[in-house]
Amino acid sequence: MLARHAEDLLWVGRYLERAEDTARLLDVTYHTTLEAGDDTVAADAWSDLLAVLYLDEEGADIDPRQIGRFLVADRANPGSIVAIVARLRENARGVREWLTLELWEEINAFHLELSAMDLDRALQMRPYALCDLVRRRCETIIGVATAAMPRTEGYQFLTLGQLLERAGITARLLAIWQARLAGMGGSAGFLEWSKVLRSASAYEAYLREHQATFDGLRVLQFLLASRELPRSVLYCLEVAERQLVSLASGPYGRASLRAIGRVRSTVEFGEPTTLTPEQLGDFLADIEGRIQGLGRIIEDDFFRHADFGLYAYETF
Amino acid sequence: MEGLFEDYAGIGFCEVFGDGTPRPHYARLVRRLGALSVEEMTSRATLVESILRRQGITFAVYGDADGTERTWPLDLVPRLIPAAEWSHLERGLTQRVRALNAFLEDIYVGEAAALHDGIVPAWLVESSPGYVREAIGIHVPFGARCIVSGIDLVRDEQGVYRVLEDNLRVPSGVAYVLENRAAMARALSVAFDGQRVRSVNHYGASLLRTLSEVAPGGMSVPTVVVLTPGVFNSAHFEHVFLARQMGVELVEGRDLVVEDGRVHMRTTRGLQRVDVIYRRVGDESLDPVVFRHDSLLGVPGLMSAVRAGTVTLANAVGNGVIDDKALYPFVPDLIRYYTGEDAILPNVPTYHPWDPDQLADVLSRLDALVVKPTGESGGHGIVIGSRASARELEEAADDLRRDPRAFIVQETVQLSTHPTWVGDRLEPRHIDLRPFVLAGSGVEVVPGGLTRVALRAGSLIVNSSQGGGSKDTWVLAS
Repeated sequence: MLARHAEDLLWVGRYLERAEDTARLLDVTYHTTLEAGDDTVAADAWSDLLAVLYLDEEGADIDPRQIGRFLVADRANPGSIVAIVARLRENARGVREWLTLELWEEINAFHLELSAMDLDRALQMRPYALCDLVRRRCETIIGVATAAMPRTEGYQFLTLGQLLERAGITARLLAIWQARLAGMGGSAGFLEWSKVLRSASAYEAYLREHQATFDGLRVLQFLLASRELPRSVLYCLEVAERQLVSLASGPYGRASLRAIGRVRSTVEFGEPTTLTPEQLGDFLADIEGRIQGLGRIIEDDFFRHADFGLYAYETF
Repeated sequence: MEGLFEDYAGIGFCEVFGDGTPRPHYARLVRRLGALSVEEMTSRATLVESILRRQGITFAVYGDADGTERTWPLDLVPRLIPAAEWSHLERGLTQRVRALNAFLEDIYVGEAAALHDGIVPAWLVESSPGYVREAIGIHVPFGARCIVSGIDLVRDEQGVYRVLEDNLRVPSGVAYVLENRAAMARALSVAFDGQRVRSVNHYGASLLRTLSEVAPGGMSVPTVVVLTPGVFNSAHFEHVFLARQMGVELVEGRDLVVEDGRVHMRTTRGLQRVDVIYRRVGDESLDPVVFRHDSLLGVPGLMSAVRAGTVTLANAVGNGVIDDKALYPFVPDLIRYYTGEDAILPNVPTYHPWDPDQLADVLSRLDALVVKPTGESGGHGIVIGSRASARELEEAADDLRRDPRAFIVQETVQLSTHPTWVGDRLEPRHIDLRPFVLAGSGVEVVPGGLTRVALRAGSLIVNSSQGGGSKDTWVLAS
């Protein structure tokens, strides 16, 4: 398929995941701050949220009461949900011939729906309902894609984008969370455990797996290396790796396969339980950084082959 | 007449009613639609709007700051063409496209016989911005330079179909023909009852077959692509639509590279050869080496590959010479010259102001005529004498005297009218018709075409960029 289309589809997957994650994380943070005992806890929750979304610089000076608006409705913020969904739709439009009609309609309708809403008011009155709406729409879109797209390159790139984004977010979440816990010196409690689990839609799954016995390392290992949890870093990397195995052909994709295989095996076979808190921080930061780096390697492998550049200007 | 049509009165030539009764081919439709209530029509109009909007069937309006995208306006009342009328149109369009292809072959790869024999003044061709010297000597399979043509037709006060203009570069609108049909079938299926409407759904297959025929060296399974300027182009929706209907890649200039004299596209698995490019970018943006150097839409080296015959462009380069309206008055003569037959579809009577006698004549009665710039399209720059102010007429007269080559002057044609759903009632609105003609080894006309309707009362301008809408167009089987 066209390299540009593949790249656009990968970003369709990324944007979908990003919009859904932003809505879920915002929702979880809202709830946390409602139950927070003091202002520091609330302030920390908001700054952690921005950090997980890589918006800590842009959002540094924003009044906590305005962060919801910043993350949902602020068109000037490229990381806001409206901006992400607009780009999602723009990208989808550029690759429409790869999407089924129903899938395109779902994406387009979502964009139109958000554009027509009074988001400020919705955030003020019912922030939960708005976050829930965004999540449901994203899940519907993914559902329509999963149900109807043929499992060819297009679907594989879309899935790859989605899973890479998800792996990155969970890894980042763990890194930020671990740093916060380390700072608290072991005084973390139910609020922190449940928050990180809910942030990854993993609270109920954790209860079924470990009952209501919370333990920092157990939570960490669950979100990092569970083979069953769809948002664990390991699960996402495994699914992403499977897409890459199908997509790779000859020299195309070799570097990506090597890089993802390496970080996956670190996640799979690393032993974070044996590490000091400081080592653990480095361990998580390393995983997060390598997942972020995968994007560039995949780009070079599939979208910007070295030979393209040579040919492009030869005729001059 | 009863029901919705009760107080309806057409203006000029009415497509539906003659002498107060429905024309025979409209009788059934008038019965069906007339029996619907205002509420039913309104709710169906809303449904059509939401179907089109949800699917993103839109067009961009350039220079429109707020919301550059508008939902494609589709009227609920279809336009019908009976079989005999259609076969007349089909013959006329086929004849016209054959002659125009012959003319383009003549001036680009032939001996320019029509110019030597004085059928068309040579200076007119040579001074045309659409005449592309870089296309001289470039051969195309079957001499099919206009592979996809959109010929605009109107009906005059007597109901005679006339050609208003030829669009032989990158005519758009065919996607709306198919989408209009699909939306109508969903929203107003009751109207189809008992009608034998000819299908338009095979267009993608016909287009792909035609494009494959014109591949270099008659290869059996060529790689065909659609080349688009990108998502910001007003017709991008259509480019996507056609790529999907044909099942081929939709590429932009940056996806293509020329290497070893051949065109390739950049895929996730390296470069892949391309044989036929259905290009929806203008000549001037095709290749920055040859044409506009600042264009980012094109492919460096593309023209050298075209010239070497390793890739076919559809349409060929240089067709704009016909779209230049200054040549339009000569088309009936060209038809006679190349086919030996009289034109089946007449032109609108047209005058060239560069001829002093004709200039004097048109200046004496400009308020009854229409002035059109030769280089514009989309209804821009047109002065309709009967509706212009004294000052506008004076300016138009000055323009004609100053630069007569840049204009044509035509008799005013009071386009036919058709009942159209406006607000909560049926009102007469002017319409035209753009049928689409495919030419490869043979010529094929898609049944019907795009009927455009001027939604503003009394307006003769049907272009969607200027408040025009559209109608589903039914060619009835005999």
